[in-house]
Amino acid sequence: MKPDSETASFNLLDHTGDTGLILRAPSLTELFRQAAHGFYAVLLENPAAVSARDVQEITLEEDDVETLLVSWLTELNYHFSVLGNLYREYELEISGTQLKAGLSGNKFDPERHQLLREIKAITFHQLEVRQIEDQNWTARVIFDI
Amino acid sequence: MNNTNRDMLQRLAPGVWELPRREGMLVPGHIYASEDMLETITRDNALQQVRNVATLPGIINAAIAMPDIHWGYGFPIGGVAAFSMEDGVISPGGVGYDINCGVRLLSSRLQLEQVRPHLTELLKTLYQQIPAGVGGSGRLLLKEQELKAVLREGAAWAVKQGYGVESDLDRIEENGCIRNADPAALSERALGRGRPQLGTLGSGNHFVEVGYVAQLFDRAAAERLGLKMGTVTVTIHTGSRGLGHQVCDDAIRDMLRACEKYHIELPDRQLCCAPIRSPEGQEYLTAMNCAVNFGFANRQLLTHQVRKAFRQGLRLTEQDAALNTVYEVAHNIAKIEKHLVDGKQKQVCVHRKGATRAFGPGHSALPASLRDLGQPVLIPGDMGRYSWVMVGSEQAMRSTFGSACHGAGRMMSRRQALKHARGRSVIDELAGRGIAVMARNKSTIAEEMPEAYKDVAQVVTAIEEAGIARSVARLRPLAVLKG
Repeated sequence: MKPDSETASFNLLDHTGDTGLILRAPSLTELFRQAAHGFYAVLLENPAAVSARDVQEITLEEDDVETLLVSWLTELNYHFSVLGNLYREYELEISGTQLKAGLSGNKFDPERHQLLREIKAITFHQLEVRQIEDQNWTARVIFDI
Repeated sequence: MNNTNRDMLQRLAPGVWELPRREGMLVPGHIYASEDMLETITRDNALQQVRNVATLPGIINAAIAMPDIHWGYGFPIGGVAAFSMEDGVISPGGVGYDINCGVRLLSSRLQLEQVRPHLTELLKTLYQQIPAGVGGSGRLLLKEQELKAVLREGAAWAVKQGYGVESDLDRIEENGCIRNADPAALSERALGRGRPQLGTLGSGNHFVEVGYVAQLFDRAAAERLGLKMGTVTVTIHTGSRGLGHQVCDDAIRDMLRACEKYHIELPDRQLCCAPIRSPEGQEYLTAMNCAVNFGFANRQLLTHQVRKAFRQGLRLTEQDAALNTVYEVAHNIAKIEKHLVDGKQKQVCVHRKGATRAFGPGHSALPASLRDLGQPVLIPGDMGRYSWVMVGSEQAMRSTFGSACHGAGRMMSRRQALKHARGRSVIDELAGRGIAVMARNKSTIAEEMPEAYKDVAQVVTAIEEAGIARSVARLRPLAVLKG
């Protein structure tokens, strides 16, 4: 059997004004990891240039998994836009609607990390997280650019 | 998702189409567009979003869409909706994340030929003077008390600090300051995002554009605004930056809970809202007003930086390089205004998301020097073609709660634009048309390429057909700084 990360994916969503992600993964944890990968693919030309050096820990809790997904990406956006932190690896643990994450990354350096665009916010518009028949998880989330 | 097509629209008046009431809509949709634009407008989910807005409690007359309408999140971009103060709601999704995103236009006495030979130097100076403020900060790090003063006083704070002149304030919507703004309504995160970002441009469609007056439709009106044929202008387009984004983000969480509390059913969670008179509604209003004031102050600071860049880049004296504020409009905002409802003047809460206030002649909110003319309406086009200056009309007061369009409106998604730009140099193409462009972020120029937008001339034609504003002047771009 293939490891989770090989059957998981993110795709960019076509939206006239903004952009978004369509996610697919065999587990909720992997879905959230793909969401983070997708987030950095929207933000940076070269997400691979981020190195997993410093570690930050966060805990989030929401009423439902959809809101938890928005909060997760909102947190990553806040860490970039205010603290200047970019991440590459995520130790994730999701139980119910609580998420614990160990984030490894480094500081944004305009010389090394080519910024594609600013993400203003993660929206609730057409937000969806669901488990489909084959036990895979899918999600759709739209960003305000 | 997109279940609205062209055939559902019925012609209501010249340039106005009705999306009839059905499935939970409390009022119809009114779409302002010329007939040949309808196909583009019905191509994405924008009209479904008009329908969704029409289901919100207390909406008055119609959910209105301007000709630059396109698919947004929650409300469509290019949407106007007014709500009753008694039983209506206020919705952060009806304002957007970039609260008080708006446009300022500056005029000058400089002739096109004086500036054209120095454009590269001028653009480089603008690039140095104006930080994007993305993933870091601007040059000004406000102390907490200073930030709170900005949130209460808006552009007046900036002028008091020497970033501009008193006469700037006279030409800003609301004189650059909305009262009923209490910084205590903002979260620590919102304040934290605001402190380093005053005087920054942002990215995406935000820009500073040097242009010139290329055509006059009403010479007398244009001269009143300081716009003479062939003179150089500057347009500044930005908003309330991360502070505004955070205010919206925080409010959406509160409003989702408020919808449960007040039993408001939503077709899309991004439309979450609360009764205007409720504690949640009032809390959002006062927090949003803080972000509005931050947006006014931000454009005032950028104006100051642009003035400095003109002096340095063109090696001119202060007097020769004088740049006067023609007007400044907010195009993402909710405001309590008086409008005629069922034959009576009533206070209502007007949401404009990607729409500009366009008050007609004689309105008391206009500066005395322009009152008989009507409010200037600033409509930037794409960076390769042209922008428009219009003035609001009596018809706008009667039919759109004194509102008009805010720009050209996107036609292509960012992905489509990037695909179109592949193998081309948009910078070289624009240079071939005499337009110099610089951007900080790599994808911006391709994503913002002219073809990604509707032709703003079409949008303006539709606005004139409906009579909600009239053309005064057309500007052409010379140099564009993108975020």
